[in-house]
Amino acid sequence: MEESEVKGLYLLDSSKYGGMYVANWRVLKPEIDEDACVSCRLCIGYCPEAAIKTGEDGKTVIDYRYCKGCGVCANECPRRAIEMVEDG
Amino acid sequence: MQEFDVMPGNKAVAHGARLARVEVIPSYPITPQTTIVEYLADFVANGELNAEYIHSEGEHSCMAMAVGASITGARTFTATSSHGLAYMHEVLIQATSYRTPIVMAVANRTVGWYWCLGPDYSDIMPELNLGWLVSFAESNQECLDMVLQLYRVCEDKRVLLPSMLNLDGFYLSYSQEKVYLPEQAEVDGWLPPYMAPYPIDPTVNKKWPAAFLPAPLHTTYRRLLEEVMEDTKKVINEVDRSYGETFGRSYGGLVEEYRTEGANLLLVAMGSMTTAARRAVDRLRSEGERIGLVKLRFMRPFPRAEFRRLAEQVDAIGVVDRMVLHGTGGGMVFTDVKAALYNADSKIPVMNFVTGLGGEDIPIDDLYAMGRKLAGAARAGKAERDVEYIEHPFQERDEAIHEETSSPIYPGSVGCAGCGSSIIIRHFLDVLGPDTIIVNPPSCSVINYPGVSKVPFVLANFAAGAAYETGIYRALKAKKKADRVYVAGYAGDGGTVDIGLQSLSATAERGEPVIWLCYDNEAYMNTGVQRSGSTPLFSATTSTPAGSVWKGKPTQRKNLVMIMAAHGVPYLATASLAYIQDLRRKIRKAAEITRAGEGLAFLHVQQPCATGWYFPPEKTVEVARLAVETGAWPVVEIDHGVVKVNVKPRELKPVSEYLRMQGRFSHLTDEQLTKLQEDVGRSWENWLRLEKEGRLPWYLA
Repeated sequence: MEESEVKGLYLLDSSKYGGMYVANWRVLKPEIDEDACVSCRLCIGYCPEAAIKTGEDGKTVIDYRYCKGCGVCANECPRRAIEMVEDG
Repeated sequence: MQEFDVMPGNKAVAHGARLARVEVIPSYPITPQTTIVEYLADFVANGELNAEYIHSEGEHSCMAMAVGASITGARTFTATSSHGLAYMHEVLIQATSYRTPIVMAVANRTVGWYWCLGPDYSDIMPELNLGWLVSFAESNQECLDMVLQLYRVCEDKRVLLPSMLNLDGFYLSYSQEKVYLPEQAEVDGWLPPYMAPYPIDPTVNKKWPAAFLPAPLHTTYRRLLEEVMEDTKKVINEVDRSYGETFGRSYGGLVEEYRTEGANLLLVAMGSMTTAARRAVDRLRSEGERIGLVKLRFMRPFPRAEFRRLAEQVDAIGVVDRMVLHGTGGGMVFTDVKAALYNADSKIPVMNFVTGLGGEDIPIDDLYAMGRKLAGAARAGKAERDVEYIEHPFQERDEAIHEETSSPIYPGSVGCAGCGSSIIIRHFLDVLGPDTIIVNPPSCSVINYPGVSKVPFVLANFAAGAAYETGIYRALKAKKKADRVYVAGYAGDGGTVDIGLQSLSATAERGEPVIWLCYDNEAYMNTGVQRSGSTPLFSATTSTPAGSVWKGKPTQRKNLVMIMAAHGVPYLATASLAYIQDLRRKIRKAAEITRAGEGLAFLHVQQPCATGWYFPPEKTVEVARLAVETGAWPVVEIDHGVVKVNVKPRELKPVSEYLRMQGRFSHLTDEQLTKLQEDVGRSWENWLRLEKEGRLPWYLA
């Protein structure tokens, strides 16, 4: 229970919030073919979980902790640079 | 031998209504009741029940439809839960004075206070004293049998009152049990058609239930209603006996006694907890305690005489309560039991155990412990404490991944894989930034995003999202902070075009500078895909299924853009999640318009829903893009009355390319498909014409 100065008031402390681990939802996982990827960033905008971002080296990377494996990125990639593979 | 099937409580209720041959069914979805009206929609769609099924736009209207149908003389059934019941409140009162024998199932669920899906009796508690009969079922079989019994009771001229049948959400509503189905012919013989004594039908009648009552008669008529409630007790017991003689099942009328013979201790339970209480009593009996159980079947009328009689026999009574009457120091049933006994001769300790709130389980062990405490109180001649709260330890789990992000919303959510709404809200919050207050009436997003959000997510009541926004905006204005914080509503189509429309309309008319984004998945997705006012023509939903009689939704969706344009709002736009840059630009524009204090900015974004439209999740963006490319979802904006079509495909693709990807349209006939193609063509031409004409004529300078 959160500490509250008001007796009986249940508080939501957003500073304790963070990302949600959803990797265990996944059956298939997307893999980016770095050679085919042109960093157009479309997949970043379309990812429902905000699991895809631009890495420090400018390359597009997937943070698999947040990936449910929905496949939207692979379906939308104009270069077909993302493939859905068995998540072993 | 009666046929049986294994089914959830909600289906048993629906079968009860079907067998009662109800004539009018107003409906509105709310968890955990929704499947009751879905099963009934299935019965009607497939010709198994010939009834007028009404898709209402909110529970206030739903109950008004029920009262209207019942005073006109039709056997009427509806169902609701929790906030839906609370929203009906005003009309529930009217149902009593009009003497409408409506039967309504209430699949119990906590009412917020703090929102929760689990069952307790906080929803029924505020509605107990309006003149409705209030009964509780223990099993799915009892649900079915009680729908039939209640029609017979309520339509009896000695009663002629409405009734609620409570079934615990989840424990009964969704749990499967064996249920015997009576034969239709047998039911028809036992439950004749409803003949209203005074229907408001000018062709047959000149006397109708009055709406007004002279002030000096109010005391008299309240007294008369109390006498009717007393008479109702006899009718309830009679009907239960008669039902038993015909169908072989009866429940004891107002109360059922279990192992009360020779008992000196009495436990009082109700609803689904009773089954566990029976087992606790069995265990205590086997250990030598002389304990019995009373199952409270009717809260109203309250079985006062039964409790007085039992109190003479026992040394202590323990009441298990699933709701607190705040300010009285005890539970809901506790207060009534004590009141019934106060002027009686017996003065025995009455204990109260408050438990199972928010839908927490009430295990046999807990009930057993209550019995033990009761035995102690009986031996001592008094209870150590009047009221005990049975609480269980709670361990909050910290599973959040603590990493800083630039967006006001963290990655990951509990939404479905491929949820389009997630795409929309991430861009919405990313553009608006951290100084934003999100107002969110019930919808999927209420479940999905507050847990990963850095900004306040205010959960608004369903019918009042934009009113919450208004209050928040005005407070910011009063505090001289309106130019620093965005007030942004984020709602589904139900919360916008149906139940939320009145509040949104008034907010637009007052010119409140707030943002409203409707993510339109074209049905009530959070309750399991029921049609809304924004569901397209012919779309199959769980409340407009395609069957042998019904062929999907029979009517056109509301033209939400034109509704908002008719308010003269300074900025409104449609958008698609497939066109992210266009969507982000429009969000930015909406923010600018409200920051400038110009008035309401309205965004209408289509959200293809893999779960409710029946397509694979990876197709979310593809379906959204096809909606635009076929002209089914025109991407337009109306900036101070000036119309612009933002995305213009060189040639529209056939609408079938969009429709055939979706299971909700898989039943379409060639005629239906042709009709939808014609509609798209007309709508597209309209937009091009409006753009050419420039400013919408009713926008005043």
